[in-house]
Amino acid sequence: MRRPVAWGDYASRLLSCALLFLTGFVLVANSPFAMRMRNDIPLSLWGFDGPQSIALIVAAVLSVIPLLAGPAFLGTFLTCGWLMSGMGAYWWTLIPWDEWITDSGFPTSTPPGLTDFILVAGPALVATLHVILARVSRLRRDAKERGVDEEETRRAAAAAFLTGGATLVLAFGLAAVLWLLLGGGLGSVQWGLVGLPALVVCAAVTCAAWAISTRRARKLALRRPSPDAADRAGRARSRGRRSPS
Amino acid sequence: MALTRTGRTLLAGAILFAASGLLFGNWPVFGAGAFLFLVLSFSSLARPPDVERRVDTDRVLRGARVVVDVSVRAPRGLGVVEVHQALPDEFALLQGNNLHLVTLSPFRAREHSLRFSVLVPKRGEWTLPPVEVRVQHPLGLAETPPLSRGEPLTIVAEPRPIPARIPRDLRTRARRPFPEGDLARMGIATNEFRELREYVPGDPPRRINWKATARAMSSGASDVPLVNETEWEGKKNVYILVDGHPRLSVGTNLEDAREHAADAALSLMELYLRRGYQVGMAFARSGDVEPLRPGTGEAQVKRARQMLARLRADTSPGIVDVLRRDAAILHRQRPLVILVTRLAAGDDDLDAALRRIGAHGRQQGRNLVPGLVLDLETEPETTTPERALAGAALARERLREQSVARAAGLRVVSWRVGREPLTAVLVRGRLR
Repeated sequence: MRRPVAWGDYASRLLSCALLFLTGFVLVANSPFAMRMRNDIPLSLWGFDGPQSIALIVAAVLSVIPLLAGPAFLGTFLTCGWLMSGMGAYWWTLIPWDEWITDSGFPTSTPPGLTDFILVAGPALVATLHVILARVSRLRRDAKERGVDEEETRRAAAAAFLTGGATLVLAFGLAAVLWLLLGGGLGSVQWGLVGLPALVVCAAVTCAAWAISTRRARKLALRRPSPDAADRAGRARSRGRRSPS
Repeated sequence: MALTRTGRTLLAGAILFAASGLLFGNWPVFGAGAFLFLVLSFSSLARPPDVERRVDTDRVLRGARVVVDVSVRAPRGLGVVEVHQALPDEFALLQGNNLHLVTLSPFRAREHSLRFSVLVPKRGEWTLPPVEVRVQHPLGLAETPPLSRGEPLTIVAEPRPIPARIPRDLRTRARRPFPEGDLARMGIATNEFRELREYVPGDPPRRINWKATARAMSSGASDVPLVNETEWEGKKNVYILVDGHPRLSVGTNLEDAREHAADAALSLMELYLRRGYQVGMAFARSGDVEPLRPGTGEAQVKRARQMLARLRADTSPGIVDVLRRDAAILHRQRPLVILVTRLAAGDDDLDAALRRIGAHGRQQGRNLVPGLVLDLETEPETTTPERALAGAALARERLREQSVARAAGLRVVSWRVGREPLTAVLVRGRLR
């Protein structure tokens, strides 16, 4: 029998890299990172100006690298995404680079809005989308490979997809609230939450969400069979069977 | 709960984004990390179900089927639960599936009934491990270690007796291996009536049943006198010695010579018990198993089945050791000894045992109760020249060992397993 292949996983990798390329290009092209180099490398590709061409090259290279990573696709993708986010968003820093670097010509930044937050989190969003799609595809592949009934496989894959979608939407919603707070819109205006206190609040909210959602699972995971039963089960597994031959 | 590789990678990414965001005071980058943390926090919303397992029987005949029912009470939650009943390698799945994916519903608890049947092709005591439950979280970011539900369950597969009968006829010389029709050369005739048969020269006249003869002659059913045949004391006991040597593992993992040896031993026991014999049984080279003392009745068959389920390959105790151990039975009851084995040259223990069994059957130089060797022929099919060569070599070895057995005063009957029924062996044996 032909071994099933997780085509969805591979298709999702291509889609994710395409999306990463788009996100990365927008991020780097609008960032002073590329603009600072416009005099150093006067480059023009397909009608794009210097900074845009650099952004194009950087985004293209960093988008292709994950495809070459094989099993380490997700890790490489996140690293490349982090690099692009860093290049696109490094100027929204609280560290006074202008004062530290004399004559740097560092452009004055504008405070990031919700769109900027979404754009910077773009690689993370795409990575999550890939995780969901790849999960569905691999679940189907594994179930087929191990001989699970077709109907059960379909139901499980559909449930995984729906749950993944819901998770993405919910996490995005919660993160959007966080980003609004961080962006100084609501947090700073309504409650005066800026700087380190805002950061602490954000970290606390994230940790609380994590703790609440995992509390029940931890409690359930601890509900194991009694040690005696577990020992007996372990012995049975190690013994396997008492074969007559 | 532990993160999977995907979960760990995503967590590393979240830490990378959040830590660099914190380090450089960069909120957008920190926000990206926070988003990944939020996604990870949704990865643990599945709960393990309660599982109950039942089998329709825990004692079957070899080759029978066992139906396994698994009841899964899935709680509310998100994700998929893998329910797996591991089976011994020798079991064959007949119907249904022993691996199921149960999808959890976030709104209500559900009960699933899963059923499958398996074939137990090989004799023995088999252990079904507890049902393994593995909770797969919705996004595959975290996993719980496999949980075992229930207790290990033992299924005993007993040998399947082969229908075997020996047609009765007039007495013949005691050269045939299966002595149910023979006249014993030792002991005395009992008063226990066995059957009416036609007179043959040599029968004492006082055994003629005159009334039955008159009826038979008047009806034309017979033109010779009928005599009363009674049971003979000297052939009331049979001692079946089953060899479990690793040599009998020849065959497939589902059916080997040892399985056939067990089936044949049980069939012979039932055959002799039907004839009113006391039959005992012992194992050699199959670990330390207590012998079954000669007895009669259905209970003896049941005990033999349970005992044969434990027949396995080993090197001890040797056949000679077993004969020494059971010397009291052999000397007091003077049984017919039947050795069920697969003959091969170069087995010193077997050679010594053949000589000992031969000596057991002799008394004052006369071979009174010659022992019997049921030799299982399970040579490979001669489909290729190499196989034919190997088969010929094995056959030569077997013939050499058969001559050793015959020289020791034993009778040897070969059973070509899979190519002829056991009854054919019994018939062939008596015609020799």
